[in-house]
Amino acid sequence: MTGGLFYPASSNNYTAANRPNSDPIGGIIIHVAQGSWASALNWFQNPAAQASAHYTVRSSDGFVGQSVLEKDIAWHAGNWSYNRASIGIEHEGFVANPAWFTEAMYDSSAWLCAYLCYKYGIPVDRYHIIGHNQVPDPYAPGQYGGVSNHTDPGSYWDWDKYMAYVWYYYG
Amino acid sequence: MFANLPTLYYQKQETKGEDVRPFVAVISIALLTAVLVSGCGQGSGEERGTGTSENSSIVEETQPQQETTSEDETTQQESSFTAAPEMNGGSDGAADSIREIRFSGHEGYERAVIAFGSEDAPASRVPIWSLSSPTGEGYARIAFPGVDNTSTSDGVFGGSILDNFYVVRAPSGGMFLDIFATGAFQYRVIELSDPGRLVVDYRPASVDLSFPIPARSERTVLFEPREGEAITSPLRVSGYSRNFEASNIVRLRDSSGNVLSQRSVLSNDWAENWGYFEASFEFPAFEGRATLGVGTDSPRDGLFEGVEVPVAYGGG
Repeated sequence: MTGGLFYPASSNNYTAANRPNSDPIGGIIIHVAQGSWASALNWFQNPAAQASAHYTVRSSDGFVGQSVLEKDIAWHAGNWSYNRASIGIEHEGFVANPAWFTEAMYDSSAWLCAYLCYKYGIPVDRYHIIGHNQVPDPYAPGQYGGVSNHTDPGSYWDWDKYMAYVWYYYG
Repeated sequence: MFANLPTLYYQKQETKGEDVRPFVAVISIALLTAVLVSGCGQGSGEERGTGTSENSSIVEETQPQQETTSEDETTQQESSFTAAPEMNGGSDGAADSIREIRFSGHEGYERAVIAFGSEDAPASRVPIWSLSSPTGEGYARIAFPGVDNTSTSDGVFGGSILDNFYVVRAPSGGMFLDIFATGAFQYRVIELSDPGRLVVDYRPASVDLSFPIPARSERTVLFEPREGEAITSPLRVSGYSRNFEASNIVRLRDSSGNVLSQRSVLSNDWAENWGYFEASFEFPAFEGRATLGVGTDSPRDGLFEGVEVPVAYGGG
């Protein structure tokens, strides 16, 4: 973990809440932004975006930008139930280009994920730390990736490595 | 929710130079005449006859005026409005960014001024550009292959003929600028230097558009297909968007609202600029009217956000 800063999203782009009291936090959703770290954080600050994630991790050095407080509900899953119950972590890069998934980014994101699991009592397993592509489409049974069937983090995301790092920091 | 994930997860695992350019106001009468004859269907009847191309296989190109005068001084030049389908100009490597796009209204026409930058400073000249103004359509597209950044991604002109604009990440590199009109128009282009600016003037043309203007919503612009189009499968779908994680949904519903087909397609940008997308979309035959929706389902609650156009089945 190389540190982080708060770049608050526009209040148009998330739902204010008082989690975990208002809504239990039961999982973490891993995203890939299909864009740069800075552009994602900037867009979440745009009132027109209508989307957000709690955290975005930079590829080059693992630096973390926070857009939405954990107590609030970010709009990232494409499934309201999952939004309410999760924390969304975006990662700079593109699903089709594994060069963006650096060691620094895996390491920093895993540290953050482990911290969140510890903080909210989230089990460290692949049932509670999931990819965006595993979020059910609420309107189409059997389809995933939220309503728009997102595919991130994609096949190049190294889940074995990531979960090993999460376990390392969690332990 | 997350308690249900074990089953859900295992079902989904596999998816895991020069400062001043010379004034080159040399547009031959013959070329101009040819352009006006074969032009866009946007010219006035007085200037270009019926508005129907007599030789649509010929792609006409004209050159812009290149001047060093101020933006205001160019208002004295009223001579070179055209409906030419293509035009190009600029200097290689002259700029790498769009710094600003301005609007001004004038008697008889309206003006968009594109100001360029080079290495974070105003550019002295205009970069390489090529304009296309497809026949009978209500927009012009200006490609800037050497431009990679923009400080403005879209905006509303709010004029009587100049409507709005989008700056889009081009699929082949660089960026393009779409300038939408409220109806049929003629245009002229003037290059200004020191600093480098491209002036694009629109004036209304007294003909009807041949095609509906592309459907636009807050974060999605759909170029293909157009409203009311008879479509065949596979259908080419193209446009640009700023939808979450560059993910766009293409969904065809029949007149009862049943989904006939849907697919997702990624655009080449979303968070920094408008991102271009295109896809081949297959669908079954249907009767009557259907509705094609292109956009995204809200990452918040799943409600559709985008454009919806009525379409008819074109056989095939």
